[in-house]
Amino acid sequence: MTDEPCLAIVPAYNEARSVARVVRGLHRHAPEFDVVVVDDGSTDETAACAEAAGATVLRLPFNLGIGGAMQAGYMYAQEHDYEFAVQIDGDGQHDPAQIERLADVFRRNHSVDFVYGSRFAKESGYRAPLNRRVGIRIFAWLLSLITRERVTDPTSGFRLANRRAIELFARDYPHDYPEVEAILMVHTHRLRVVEVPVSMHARETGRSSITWLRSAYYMTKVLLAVLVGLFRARPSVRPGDPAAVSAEAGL
Amino acid sequence: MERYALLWLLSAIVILGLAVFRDVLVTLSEALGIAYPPNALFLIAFAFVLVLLLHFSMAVSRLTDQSKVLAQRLALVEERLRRHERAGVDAAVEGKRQPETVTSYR
Repeated sequence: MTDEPCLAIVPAYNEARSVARVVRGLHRHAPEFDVVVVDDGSTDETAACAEAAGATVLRLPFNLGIGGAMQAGYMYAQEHDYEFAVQIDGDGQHDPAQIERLADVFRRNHSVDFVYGSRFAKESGYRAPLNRRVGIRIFAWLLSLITRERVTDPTSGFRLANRRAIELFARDYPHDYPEVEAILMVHTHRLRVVEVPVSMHARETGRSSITWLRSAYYMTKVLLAVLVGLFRARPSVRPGDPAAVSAEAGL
Repeated sequence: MERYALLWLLSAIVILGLAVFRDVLVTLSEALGIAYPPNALFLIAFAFVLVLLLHFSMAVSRLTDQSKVLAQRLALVEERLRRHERAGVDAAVEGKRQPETVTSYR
């Protein structure tokens, strides 16, 4: 895989403090990966820090969320003909040294299109807060049921996509709850997904801002999105589409 | 709002009309099986509002999608431009030509 062009996509929203470290970590532990930081409308110095650390930066004019930001990264990957694209979060949670674990799967099995790292597949000492763990377990169970593959960490953003997956995501990527929905989407489009155990760092920000109630609300919304996603194709924007609000159609 | 002027106008005429010409309203509510005619008026007004809301919902969805694509492609184009300009600056530094730079829209 080292001879093929590889890209590391780093979505970042107000991560001025950690983004430079993430970029340098990538340069050191995964030198064959070009780095593009997607600045998701940050109000701090994220873009400048990333550039200073030597990364290419995509500056979104306003915040789109992780889904929109990652899709911009995949669009970049497609435009520049990359064969592989790995997602590395801008907060430093993902360990670039673990990219090897993801890449290994591709080397051993050429029919795989998409690999993601699970924090829970093996005892790695990572313990998410209880309310998140319950949510993750439920999604994991649901997705395992639908895809008929073993899914233990569907919310993991640490994932590596090959050319086919890149092209799919550049065209259409879930907006609201991308990590979970993407696994389902890849499955629906008949691409092969594989899960691999990895270890990650705990998030540096001390207490989670997610309360029990918020967690339940988030979970319900994702469940709904997943169920709806099962039944309809997401309409994507194509050239030649009519304007959303047109003078002729308006009454 | 002016885009939907016709729909608003139509709604206003129908509702006002029914309010003024009570007999029409009474006949209509009997046809609908509603015992108290003003309720029929409310029902009709509500139905118009629902239709409008549905229309707006769809338009907003579409706008969001298109807006997202614009943001993404803008970011990509600006990056290409900066890269191009940097190459231009490097060439100029080597004594070749004056670089032109375009300021980013902020």
